[in-house]
Amino acid sequence: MGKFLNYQMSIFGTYEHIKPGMNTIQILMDAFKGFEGEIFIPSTIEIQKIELPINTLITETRLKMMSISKKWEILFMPDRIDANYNGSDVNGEVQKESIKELVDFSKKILDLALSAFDLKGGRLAVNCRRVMKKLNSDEIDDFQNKLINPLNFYNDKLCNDWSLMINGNDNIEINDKTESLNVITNISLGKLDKIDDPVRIILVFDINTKPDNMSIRFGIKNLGAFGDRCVKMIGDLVVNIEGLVSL
Amino acid sequence: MSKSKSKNEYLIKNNTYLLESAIEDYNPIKNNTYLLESAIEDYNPNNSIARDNNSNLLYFTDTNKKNTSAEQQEILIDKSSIGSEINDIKKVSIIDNSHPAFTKEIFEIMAEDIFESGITPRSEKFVRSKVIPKIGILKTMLWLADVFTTYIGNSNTSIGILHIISHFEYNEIKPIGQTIAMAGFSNKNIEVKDFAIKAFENWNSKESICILQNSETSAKWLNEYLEEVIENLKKHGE
Repeated sequence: MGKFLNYQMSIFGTYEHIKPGMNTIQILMDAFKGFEGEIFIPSTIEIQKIELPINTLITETRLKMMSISKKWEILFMPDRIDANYNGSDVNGEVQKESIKELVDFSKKILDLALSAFDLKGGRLAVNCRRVMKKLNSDEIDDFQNKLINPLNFYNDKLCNDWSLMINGNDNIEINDKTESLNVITNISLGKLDKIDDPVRIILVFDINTKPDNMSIRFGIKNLGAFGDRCVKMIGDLVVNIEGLVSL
Repeated sequence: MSKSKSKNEYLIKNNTYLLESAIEDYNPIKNNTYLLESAIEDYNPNNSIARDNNSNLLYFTDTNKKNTSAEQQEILIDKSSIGSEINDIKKVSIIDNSHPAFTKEIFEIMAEDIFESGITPRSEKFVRSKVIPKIGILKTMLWLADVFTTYIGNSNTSIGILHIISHFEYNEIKPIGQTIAMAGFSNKNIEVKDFAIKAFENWNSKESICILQNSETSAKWLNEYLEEVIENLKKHGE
């Protein structure tokens, strides 16, 4: 079985004002009080941003809510709010949450954060990184032959690093309007951490409403429809890709 | 990027210089690729200032494939932002404030430290004499916040950090110090909560009253102490 290494659901908008401060933190702590499943605590991060055309590099402190288990955090960036999942536990073991569980949880905590400040956004996104189950060298050869047609030059070479990126456009109905989506899949062969780790097939999925339309139109009610669609698409893609391993 | 600047200069002035140079020379009319290739060519990963939590990478755009991606931190300057919306370019990266060497040292000191009212612990002396002179008060607080959340299950560390920050002036560490103290309220350990309240008591700011009023603990003695602090802040807080 493959596992999700990390996951992120994001909403884009103007959130400059959600920054560390006693009132803001109190509102968030109240919002997360009694939330079932995880205890969230406030913390801070420092970010660096480039502001053009004044050509200035600016650092500022931003707010995050972090789960005590360290699996989840919500980052309040100036232009986006991210619900991030880290799949590794304290011992580095990768957990086995399904994409549905990840989307559902991130939707719940983003709901809380957005509701607390009555926020909306102009773009939605889900992205995640998954490692496929360990394959032996014959399986990897077979897999890559099905996905990529190497140039003749590589036919007799040992290929230990490759990637394939596809972006297909799709549509989704949100608020009775058709929204265009980027559906990006990146399949690659690489190493997870250390140089002596065995090579693995890594899948990255990134589904997002197109940045052409950033008008503020998405609220908490829309996270569900978008998230459900992402679950379906990522689920189908995983079955499709992992089904290519047939030995 | 100006080619007249020597490599040595880059090494001495680290990546802040690199990024500032990149911005200085940034011209939206020109093709971004030139700037990005130059920046990547000169990038020294050992001096990374703009990297994510896991990878030590400084992210520049891949102008072809990243335009459509929504993944956080992958784009520092990207082609899609060029054009009529040039004023809106605000690309963001997260700075790592974990300072592992300081963390290792303060852990060793805290293991033998005593955290009692009226006593300046050795770990606080370390923070004031070694850490702040080197990275400044803001980054010190960000580092302590990072340690506090990373080791949230370690009560001794939480108590130690709360005790240290309680001895700083309220405005000196605002808002990061207060964020740490508020996180302390969420801790199940009653001693940690006690030190979080003590921090607000020491800071003596009326701003804290609302926060404290929203806090509750299961221990009767701690609730009484909390009430006492709130009353004192109402009467004598600044």
